[in-house]
Amino acid sequence: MSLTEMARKKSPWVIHVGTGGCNGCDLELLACLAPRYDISRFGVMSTGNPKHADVMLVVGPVSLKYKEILKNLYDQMPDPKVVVAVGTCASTGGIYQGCYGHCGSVDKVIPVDVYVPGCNVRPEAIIDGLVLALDILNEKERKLLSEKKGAA
Amino acid sequence: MMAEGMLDYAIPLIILILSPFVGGLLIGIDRKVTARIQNRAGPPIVQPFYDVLKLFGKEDKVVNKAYLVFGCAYLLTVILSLALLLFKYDLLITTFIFGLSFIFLVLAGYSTRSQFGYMGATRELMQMLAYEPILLFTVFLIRLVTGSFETDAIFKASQPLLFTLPLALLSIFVILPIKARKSPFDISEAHQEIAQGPETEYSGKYLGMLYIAHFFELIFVLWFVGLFYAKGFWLLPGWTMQALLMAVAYVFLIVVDNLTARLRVDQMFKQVFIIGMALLILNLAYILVTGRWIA
Repeated sequence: MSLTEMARKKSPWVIHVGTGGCNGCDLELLACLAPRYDISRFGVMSTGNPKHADVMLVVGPVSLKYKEILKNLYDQMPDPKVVVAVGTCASTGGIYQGCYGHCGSVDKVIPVDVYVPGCNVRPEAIIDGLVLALDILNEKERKLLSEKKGAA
Repeated sequence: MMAEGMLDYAIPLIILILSPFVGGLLIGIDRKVTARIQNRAGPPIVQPFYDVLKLFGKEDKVVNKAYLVFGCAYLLTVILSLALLLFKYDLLITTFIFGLSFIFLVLAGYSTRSQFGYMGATRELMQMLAYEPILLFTVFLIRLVTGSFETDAIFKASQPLLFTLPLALLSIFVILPIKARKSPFDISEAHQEIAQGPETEYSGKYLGMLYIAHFFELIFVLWFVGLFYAKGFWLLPGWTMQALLMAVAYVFLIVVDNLTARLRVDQMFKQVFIIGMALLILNLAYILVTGRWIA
């Protein structure tokens, strides 16, 4: 494992996107940053800026109004990037399934790498999903590099 | 004789090379201490280096070329100002070049056409307006006491600056959080309200570059404070007193950062300007009355 890959695993910067759910998972996500579950011990920093982020934590089903914004945020994140769908609504649509104002789960709008189910999702589950996402981060970078080599 | 002359250049050079590492470690310690104060476990103290290394491994999304140039200029001028300070060059030039580095950051913010960048750059300018006069007046007071703008004169003076300019040091402490970008004066890059201010549009290795510049900046600020006690005390040699003063300044920074909330721009401007200037004028009166100034 190279130095950059190790550093990438140790410092995931997170952008937290709420796409219009019931706010329950949002609060659990904030509990992760609080003293009891403190995810900053993994080097996580919550940035409000997609250009600095590595991991996108999406909470809630995507409402039609938020679809464009979510796509825009995803496009602004620099590679390698990982999307984690937090909560049942974000993973499958949940109780908003088939609702007129929503386009359902997050993976209908942007590619999702890790699904964390639960309603509400537990902070432990979020941490589990985040750690899973870190491995995918390095895998994605390797894939990108090999693609670049193949193109050249 | 020859070896001594070499040492005069070798020691500052070594400090200059080590300073990003020391600065990064200091920031790591700050994050750890802050976490412990809030009863969290906190990231490891080498976390800033992980962050920078990671940023160098990321894709950079470039908006335009102008702000990359300004970012590089910011890094280079910060390094230059630290080098001038360490090699004991003219103190006035050093502070001007340090101010110039902030100007480059402001220009970087203005050149990105993002409202967050604009907002951050404007706030950065307001902060400069607040702290730059105080810094300059402190340098003028140092000139009055030591008789020269050369940094060397501070080391050759009969008394450490702390005895003649105690209130000037206090006013430096007032502007310290502005220069270290800490609460209550972290207005320009208030990341909860305006993303990251001038740094909003940076990503990848250019953001990493700005982080390295912040490491240098921290060392510059602390070193400037350290100048106020450049003499030995009792059995201790001069550099330990300098290091002690730097440590006091850094602990002060961390504690104030954790105790206070962010102020508005106008509040910051009023408080810093009025308190800082009052302290400096009192100090000027003190050295004029006691006759400690050298024309």
